[in-house]
Amino acid sequence: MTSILVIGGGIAGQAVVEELRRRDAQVPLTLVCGEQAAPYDRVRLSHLLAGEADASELQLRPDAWYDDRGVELLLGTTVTALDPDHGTATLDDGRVIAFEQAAITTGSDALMPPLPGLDLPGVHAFRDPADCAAITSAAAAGVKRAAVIGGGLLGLEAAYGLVQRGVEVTVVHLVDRLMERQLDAAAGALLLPAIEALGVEVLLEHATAELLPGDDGRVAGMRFASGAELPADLVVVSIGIRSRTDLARAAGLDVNRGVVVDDRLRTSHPRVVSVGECAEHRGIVHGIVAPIHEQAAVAADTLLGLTGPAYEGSVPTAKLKVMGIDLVTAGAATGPREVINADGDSYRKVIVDADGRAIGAVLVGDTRGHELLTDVVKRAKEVEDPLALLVEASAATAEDLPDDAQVCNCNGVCKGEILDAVRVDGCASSREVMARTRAGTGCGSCKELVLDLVALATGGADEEPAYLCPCAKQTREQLVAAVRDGELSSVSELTAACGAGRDCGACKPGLAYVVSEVAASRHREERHARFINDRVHANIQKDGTFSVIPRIRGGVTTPQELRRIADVAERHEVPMVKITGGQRIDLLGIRKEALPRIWEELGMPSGHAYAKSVRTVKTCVGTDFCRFGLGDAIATGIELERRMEGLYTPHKVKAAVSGCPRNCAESYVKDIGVVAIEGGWEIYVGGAAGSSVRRGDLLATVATREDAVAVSLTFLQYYREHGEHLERTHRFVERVGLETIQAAVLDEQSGEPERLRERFAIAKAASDPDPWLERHDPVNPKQFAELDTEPEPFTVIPPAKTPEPVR
Amino acid sequence: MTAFADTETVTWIAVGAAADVPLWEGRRVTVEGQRIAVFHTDAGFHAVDGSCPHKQGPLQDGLVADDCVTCPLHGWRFSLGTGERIGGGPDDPSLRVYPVIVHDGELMLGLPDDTEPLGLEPRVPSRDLAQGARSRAPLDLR
Repeated sequence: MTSILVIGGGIAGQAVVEELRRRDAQVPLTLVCGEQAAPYDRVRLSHLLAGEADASELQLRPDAWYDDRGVELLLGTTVTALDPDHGTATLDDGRVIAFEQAAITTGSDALMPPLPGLDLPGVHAFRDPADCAAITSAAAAGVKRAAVIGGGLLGLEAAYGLVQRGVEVTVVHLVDRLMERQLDAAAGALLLPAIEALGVEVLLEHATAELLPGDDGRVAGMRFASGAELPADLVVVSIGIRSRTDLARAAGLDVNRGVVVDDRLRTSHPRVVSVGECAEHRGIVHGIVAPIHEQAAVAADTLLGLTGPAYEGSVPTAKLKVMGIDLVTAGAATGPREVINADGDSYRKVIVDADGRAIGAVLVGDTRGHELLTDVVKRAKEVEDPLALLVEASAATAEDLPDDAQVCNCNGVCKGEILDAVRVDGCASSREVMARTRAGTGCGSCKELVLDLVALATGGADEEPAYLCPCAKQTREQLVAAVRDGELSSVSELTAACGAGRDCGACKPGLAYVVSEVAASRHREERHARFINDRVHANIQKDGTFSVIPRIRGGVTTPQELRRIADVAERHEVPMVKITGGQRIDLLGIRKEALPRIWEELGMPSGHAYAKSVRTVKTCVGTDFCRFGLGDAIATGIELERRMEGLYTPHKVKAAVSGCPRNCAESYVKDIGVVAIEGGWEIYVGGAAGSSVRRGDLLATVATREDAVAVSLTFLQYYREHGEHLERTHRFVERVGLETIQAAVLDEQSGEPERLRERFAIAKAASDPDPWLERHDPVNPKQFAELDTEPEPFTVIPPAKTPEPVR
Repeated sequence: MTAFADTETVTWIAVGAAADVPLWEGRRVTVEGQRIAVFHTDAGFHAVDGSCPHKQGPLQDGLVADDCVTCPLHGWRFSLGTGERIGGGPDDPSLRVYPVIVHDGELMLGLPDDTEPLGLEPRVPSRDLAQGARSRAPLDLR
């Protein structure tokens, strides 16, 4: 079987791999990435700089994707030599790998002008996340004035990113208008004030002659050809790209500006294709993303020996991803015949060639119908009445687009594929469609259109409800009703009643939650329906061992407790003892068989750190010792934790109590956060500081500590009754709406808050306060062991009169 | 006792009490250095490789449904009847499936005689194996 080596882990390398796998699930594939991470979406670099995304979000596919599809991924590796005749590639670590065919997708470097001072500290390209990180950290380190050399698309996006980070920015551009490759003079004239309105200064027709060092040896400014100077303590260079062709050239392939390829993307050697910004096709090196997908599809056919349409070039398209400025262009900016529809704020133009075919479109300020216009230009359609086309485009909807119009330029997805995802593949929600087709997951600018198309394909049907059991298509509401109406008390009964949990079993913990919540903890507990963590009351780790976190309410402990924990850790040679983010002590690397003995020796209750339940209430030292404390955070936190612990919740709940608005316990980013203020307490809900970061919403301000605890518990019960399984409070609050929650939780006149607290108290009273006591009475003989092992024997230690933490 | 395979003979090894694997749960057993997970469903007992081919997760600790187990680490799901991955790609490795019978309340695991080396690929028609196991399983152990 042939094997294919893809050299270069950028968007192009990834696109080739995806197109190959789409056609052939078997062919051995190796992707060599120079960077330490799997391919990422460079189109969204500007989002990274503007702080609108973080680096991990940019990765095109999760690491597991490569494993799952049998793609060998060599990270942090470069190919140093290529021998196409013999089909071998030498890696930088000296290894030589053999291939039948290869794709060169080495991309490009930033083009750097030959300027004196270019190597000064503080001068950066804008090309990859490392550049972004360098620019960001410079901005964070207090850079005041930045200059961006280059007023093209990427330069403007860099300028925007810097302004977002509070830096004064000047864009220095050589020619007389911004984005001159895409825009005519009139459109450029409209873009200029829009960019200036963002707070960016623009210097047109300024040729940089030299970058100037300051006293500290870092860049301090620049001198122009005119002799004028501009101070700048950060300089970003973004004037274009230069294909990376060294490898191809050394391998003896034909190279001009880029690696020369034919209409099958084949280089001068039959074994090797090239795609993306390193490739030159019909004299053109494309520096944008859309052509990559068109090239990759043809290159994949070529590599696999399949026949398919040839690549005949791409119409360049551009979309400025700067908030508040709408700009889309396709094809030529000027031409023999131009029809313009403009007013003071917008400029819309269609360019037609001598034969009446559309060859370009420029849209600034009003980009309605740009998909339709781009499509007309890409196909070079004959346009009888360009003005009518412009008007028609303004009113165009998703429905008007032809099926093969490309909707997502980042991932090369056309309308038909999106419709098919619904009609043929049975996707029922935009989320599923986006996961399947990847449309809308790149720069995100087409997302609205994708949503429209999904709505179109589903007949405007609502998004698929959030099923708790997707196999049996049962929502949480339906399951709650089934439990309530049938007075069911176990997951088995629920499964028998409606089939939920039978097929794949993944939802069984959710069913267990529903049963326990509706029955107010008086359900029949079935451990097979619980995740392993809840069968052995510890958190499973990557190696199959467990982590043990004893209850340390409010994060307040005693010397005796610490001594016991230390003794246990030593005696059992616990591989790691770790202070957690929730102010707890974690013993990691414990074998299942050792759990009961360790719990006995600790003599402390379970901290529930493994369950979907209230995990921790963090506290600051409040009024006990702090000079600033306004409220007794520790006593309040300990009480809150005691009142909430032991109950299952839809997802984990982390809480905190801070003694003043300095917020040392991080209450603003907790599921439930209580903050003492002068004369009272604030209760925040829906905060998060995990994969999402969200400041909690102020649910209520109350006068007393008792009220603060009561409001917190009322909210918790409301969440327990209405939250979807695995829905954290920040999503819950956003979905349900703060006002709805306030109405239910705070309106004492209605009686509902009181009823919520009653139901909470009933469920709490019936809950298991310390599952670790199962060490004395396991639910089955091998609860903490395997078939051929036994739980470690232990001597029961009479409970010492453990003093409460000293306060 | 060897009706499930044409060419291979099997050695039956007692691995523990059937009652020690609760319904819809799994437990691991180590036989000749190989970790094997034994599961109990309403169709009887099943045995497959105990280590998930993805990242070596402990499959015995997974959630068990009608005919599958879901690895507790990253959610890879495998058929207990065939050992094949469910919802994965065509190239995903499968688990080896071993026949299980219950004799006098004791779980007996059938290991092919040419046990070593134990690879991940099922070498015998594993569906037949599993059905063999099922047909031998007593109906009620609780």
